[in-house]
Amino acid sequence: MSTKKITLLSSDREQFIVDEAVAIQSQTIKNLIEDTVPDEDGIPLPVVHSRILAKVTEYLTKHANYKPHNDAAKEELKNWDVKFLGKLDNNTLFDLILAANYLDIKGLLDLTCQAVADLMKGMSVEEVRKLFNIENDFTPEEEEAVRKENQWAFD
Amino acid sequence: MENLTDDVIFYGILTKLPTKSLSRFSCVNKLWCAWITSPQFAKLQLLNQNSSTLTEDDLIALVTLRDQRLFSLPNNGLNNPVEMDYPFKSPCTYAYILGSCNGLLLVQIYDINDAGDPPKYLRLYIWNPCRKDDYLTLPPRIYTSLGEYHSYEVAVGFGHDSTTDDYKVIIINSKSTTKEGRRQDEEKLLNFWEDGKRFMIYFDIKSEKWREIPFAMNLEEGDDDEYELELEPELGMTRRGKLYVHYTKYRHCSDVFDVDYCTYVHVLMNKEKEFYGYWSEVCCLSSEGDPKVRAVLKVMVEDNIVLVSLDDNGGGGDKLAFYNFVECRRLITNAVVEVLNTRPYRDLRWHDAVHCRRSLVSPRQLT
Repeated sequence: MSTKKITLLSSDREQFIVDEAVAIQSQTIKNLIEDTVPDEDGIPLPVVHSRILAKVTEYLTKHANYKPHNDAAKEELKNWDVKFLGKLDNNTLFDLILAANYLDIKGLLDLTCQAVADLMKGMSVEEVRKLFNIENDFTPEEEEAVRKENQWAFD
Repeated sequence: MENLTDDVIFYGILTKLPTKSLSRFSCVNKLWCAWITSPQFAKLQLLNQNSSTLTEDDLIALVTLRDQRLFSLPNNGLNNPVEMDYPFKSPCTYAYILGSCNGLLLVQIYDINDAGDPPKYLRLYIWNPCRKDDYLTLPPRIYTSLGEYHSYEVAVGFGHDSTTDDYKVIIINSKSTTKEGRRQDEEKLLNFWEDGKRFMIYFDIKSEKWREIPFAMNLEEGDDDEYELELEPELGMTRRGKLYVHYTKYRHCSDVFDVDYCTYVHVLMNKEKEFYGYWSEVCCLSSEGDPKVRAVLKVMVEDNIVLVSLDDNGGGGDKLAFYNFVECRRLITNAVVEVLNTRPYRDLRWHDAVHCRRSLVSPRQLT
């Protein structure tokens, strides 16, 4: 029995060959398959590097082939997700969020965003600014006023 | 590493954070501050909280004492109570927490004079304890309908109706009861729930709609003679806008050596949207399994949480605990006992404590 294969092309032009059922979990890829004539090398995904696309396809393959029917199976899939996340450094995690957002994969986006939220939970304001490269545009007086309003959250 | 877009950060990530972290992060920059304090974001975060993502950090208990100090207790019960400031505090007021919903509290304030005469003024506020000075004063029409409020005779509920996305205050009162006619003995308490001359008022906060309807409720009794005393009806609303009422009965338990009464709390829920009749019992909590339970103070049906006062050494309700009544799991046996033991507050009243989730909902922006 053969299933239809789809070739995905990363920004550095590396090919990833996956089952169609795996690929179309991405709404963006699904639309591309339906609406465009494919490049002869595969479907180009110009914003996703091969390093990240490898992770994306790893996630999609697991979730396409694994449809949990009971609680034990759901639990196993959850454990797989935790392990999957555990192997990622912050840079990869952020790149994966961007890819999940671009490729429109809700499950992966939720999973990775939750991971960042968990990371941030106990952080200080300074650490959060650093994490997202955010410049503080408050004057010291303004910042002090906002801090006072929310004093309980700093204790 | 590329920077994440604001879209991903604001919708994908921040909506998954607990309220405490978010309150802190409103200091990150102006854009974050504007987003975190917006009504739109408060709603998104609440929706996320309703799923399985609600963290321990998002649940607190609040207790007010007779001297008007307000304490928040973390849900894990490991840390000490933290005294909180509240905006309407003054030396000559009594504050009672009548209900909580989506992180908002319905607070009732009495002004008293030095002689300890009956309260002259009574006001109602909606306040979010996570937003310090942010509160909404409710129109006089609501609190005048409370009359000379007494917990035995009036039941007050506060909740959110998701079909209209509006918050409601609901009051059940007895029209036939005149000031002179009020007797606060047991017979009177029973009559209040049995004479059928009650009416129900509800007030929608956003639309300022006001309705008053007759209210009938049949309490299924069974063998009534066994029950010694029936007390403290209380009204509440689930977050889906369903109304429930609970009342407490004490029954004599002669077979238990050192406990005179067992406590039974009956929770009834209305089936119909229009709140006429059709009440059915959804659960009955009893203290039979745990004779330390002295009284049930508040039931929060949707969260399956009940607040009880415990009688540990026959000392009389010094200690508070939250139970998950579905799993029969005690959530907090908290340090409040230390606070209470240092002061003569044996008569902690039922509406003085509430279980509450932390949220960013702004009372001022409700209307």
